[in-house]
Amino acid sequence: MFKGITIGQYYPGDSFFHRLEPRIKIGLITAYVVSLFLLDTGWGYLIMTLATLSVIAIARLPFKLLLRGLRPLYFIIAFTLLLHIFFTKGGRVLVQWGPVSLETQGLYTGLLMAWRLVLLVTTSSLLTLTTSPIALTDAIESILSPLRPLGFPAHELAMMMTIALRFIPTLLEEAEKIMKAQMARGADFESGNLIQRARAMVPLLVPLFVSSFRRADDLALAMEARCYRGGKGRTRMKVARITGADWLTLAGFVTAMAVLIWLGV
Amino acid sequence: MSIIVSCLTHVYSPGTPWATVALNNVSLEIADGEVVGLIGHTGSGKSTLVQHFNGLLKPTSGTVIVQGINLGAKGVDLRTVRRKVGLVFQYPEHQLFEETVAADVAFGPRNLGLSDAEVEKRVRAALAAVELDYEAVKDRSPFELSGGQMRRAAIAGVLAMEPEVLILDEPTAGLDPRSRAELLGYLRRIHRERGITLIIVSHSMEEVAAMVHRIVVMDKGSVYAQGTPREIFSRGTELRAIGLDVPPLTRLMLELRARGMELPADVLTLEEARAALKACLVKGEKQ
Repeated sequence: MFKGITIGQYYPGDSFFHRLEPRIKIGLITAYVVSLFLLDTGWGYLIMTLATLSVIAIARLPFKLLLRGLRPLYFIIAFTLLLHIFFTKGGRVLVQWGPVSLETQGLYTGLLMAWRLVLLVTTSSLLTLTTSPIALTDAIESILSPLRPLGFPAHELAMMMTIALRFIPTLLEEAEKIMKAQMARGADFESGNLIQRARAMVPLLVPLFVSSFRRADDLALAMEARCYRGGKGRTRMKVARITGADWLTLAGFVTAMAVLIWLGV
Repeated sequence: MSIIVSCLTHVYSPGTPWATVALNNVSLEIADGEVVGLIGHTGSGKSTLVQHFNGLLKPTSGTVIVQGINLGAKGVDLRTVRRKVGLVFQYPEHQLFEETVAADVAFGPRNLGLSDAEVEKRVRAALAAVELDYEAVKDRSPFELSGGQMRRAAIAGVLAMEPEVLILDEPTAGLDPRSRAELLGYLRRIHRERGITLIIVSHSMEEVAAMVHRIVVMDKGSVYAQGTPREIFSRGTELRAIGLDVPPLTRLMLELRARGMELPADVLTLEEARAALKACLVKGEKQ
């Protein structure tokens, strides 16, 4: 049941893309996402798709893993597609069915929008797949740190994210264990109507809540015992440095995207 | 035969970089009414193995036959199997969820679709088996109980299913010595009174030695050795090599033997040890 969740999952490797400085990677993905919203032709999308595919190839990520990450979005993607097919008008009429008509413009926009979603999700998952959670939150902290003088809790936010990411697998494991324990007592999580299924979740959710609070308590205590008092004056064991090659990669990609947008592809 | 496992292999997350072989070609038979201790170091595959006994995990290859039902076969109603095979997970108190102890223990029997009267009867019997006073605890929240009581209430939750095979994964983990001894006492009595098959998973030899008929030692996903506690303990040196500790008494005997004293290798109880040592010392004096 919980095997399909890939959020925040790190796929270890030693490729060029894995080694890119995390802040640069965040920059690249941001540039990608912005461009994706500014480009709106088939050619533009083809280039973006190739860019994503080449990163997948460079990072040697299994294609199946990425497809699995898309699974929870199948419904939204299909919904987007259908909405455009039936409600966006223009171009030739393909099928006329009483008051409902299917037109080329609708099909075209629908496909582009659905594809945009696929690219958006796949590419942003590349960031977490190729960057260890710790490196990622450090990068976020460093990007947000200029806002600190304005009272923005950059370190606290990063710490919360680190902890949240750290505990996703633990919670999933715990959930699976409790689920098995209840199944061993004859609980049924898989059949019945919506209400029955929601009720069946109670024996899973209550213990999960209880153990989350216990864990949070333990963690807070353990952190305090080691004199944690927030980010002030903390130094790092690994200081991330952006190299010339990192800057060059980002600059190259941003330029390429700017040219594409300028050309109106 | 209660449980027949043949050539069982289990791989976690097959086809990913995280793939790990948890069980490798395990074959094992457990007879009706037998008390078996499943011993192994952390990660030896013992927990994975017992989760196959009630169909919570599916074999990657090999077969598991429980009370004549092949769990791998198509269309097997796993709920029937789970009714026959009760599995108490490690730290079972983490699965408590109901508002009252009685309701929590009743969760299993209710899932079996039993009548209210039958459910109450079973809840009473299950709580009595772990020496919790029904009247005193039935309306209390399970979260108000002490750690040891919570553990017992959770075990009662599985006992109330009246399984023919009861499996407990590290039942005494995290308990103080007294609760530990008490819990093992309840289990011994439950076995005696109900005649069920009992499988106790543990990493401690000492704990199970006194109550099991047979010990199965697991190492790196395979059955490393099996036999009566006496047979297993006589191989103390080998066991220590795979990271398992034999009871202190057996260890003492082994080390004295290693220093040249003529002592038997399979000493189990304090009386035997005393007799053996005495015999050995008397012999030494005569010479």
